Amino acid sequence: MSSRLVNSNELINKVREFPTLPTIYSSLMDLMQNPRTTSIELAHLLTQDQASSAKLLKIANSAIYGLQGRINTVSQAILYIGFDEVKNIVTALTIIKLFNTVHSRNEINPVDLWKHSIGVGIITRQIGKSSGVRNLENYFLSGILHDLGKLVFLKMIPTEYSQVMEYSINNKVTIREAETKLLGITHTVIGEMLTEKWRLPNSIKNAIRYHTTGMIDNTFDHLVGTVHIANIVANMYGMGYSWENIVPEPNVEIWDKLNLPDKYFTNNYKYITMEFDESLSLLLNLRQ
Amino acid sequence: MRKMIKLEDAVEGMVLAEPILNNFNQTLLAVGVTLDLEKIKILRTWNIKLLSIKSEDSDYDLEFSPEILAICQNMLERRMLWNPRNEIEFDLIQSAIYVSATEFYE
Repeated sequence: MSSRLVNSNELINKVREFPTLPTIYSSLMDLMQNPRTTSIELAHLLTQDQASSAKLLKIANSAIYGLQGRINTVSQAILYIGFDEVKNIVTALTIIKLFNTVHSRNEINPVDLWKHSIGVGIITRQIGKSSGVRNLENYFLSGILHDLGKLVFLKMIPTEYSQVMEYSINNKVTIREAETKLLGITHTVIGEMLTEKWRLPNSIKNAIRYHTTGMIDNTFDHLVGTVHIANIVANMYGMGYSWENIVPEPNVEIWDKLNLPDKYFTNNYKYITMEFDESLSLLLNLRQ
Repeated sequence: MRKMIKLEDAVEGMVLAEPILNNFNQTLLAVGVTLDLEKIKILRTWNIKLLSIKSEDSDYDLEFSPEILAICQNMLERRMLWNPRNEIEFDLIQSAIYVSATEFYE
């Protein structure tokens, strides 16, 4: 008799029926795909949702982009931080809002997971910058979305997912190992499926799918490797709570590839934690 | 040695241990530049919040008691099922202990 708590095929079907992203996102994607789109047209679309555009401006002015106080309009945000990064902020806000109705279950609290994810986003971007990546597009968003599959589980099967967490604590295994044992499918696979449904970029899809191993089928990918390390750092720094009670072991090969300077964490932990504190209120307080 | 400080704590004569970069990784101020009032003012207009400066003091500018550091180390090690294998992992663990210790004072 199978010891699985759910039928993984049924879970996969439920993901297929998951809501699509709101219209503003698809309109945004359509505009972005048109090479003739101007920043004025894009700004016009974004300002139709005043709450989102206000939030976009606050984030664009935060320490994350180092342009504090200089951006007063959505058009300026597009000019200074770029089309893609503006799209990424809107995507992050849209997805956080979409999961706003997911409720806590015992010790599993979605707000704690978002806090962890924001920490991973900040560290991913910071490591990317420090290791000389010129195009940091998708670094922040990949970190923020890396555990998307866990939220899907909490939304779809809260009781069973509580048991997964209990199993991981009692047996001192990672959440992913507990998911494999009890559900037959992991949050990384579920997250990947959702990114396909939502047509998010491949780089983000890969970061979600492979962040626990840090490699794509034994091949190094800078963004995936960085999210892998950032996930562990955020866990060790106590940024939020990823529902993971042990610190996963870093893939040692990734350190060599990232080639971070000596005493990297000693010299950056303060900046990282400060940026984290600032970003939490900006991204999580959706009523502002 | 180097030390991270807040811009508001920067004073004339301090020497940068790391460059100040803009968002495009272009160097605004190089390693070894000595700060004067004019440069500190410019850093303020660039909204730089933290600087890495050369210092004889510890990398960690808060002094924690050995007891607090030991508690934090123990809390972390209970969650870790692996041992550090290289310098960067030692550095990561050390910084995580200090992040945790900082929370004792908040």
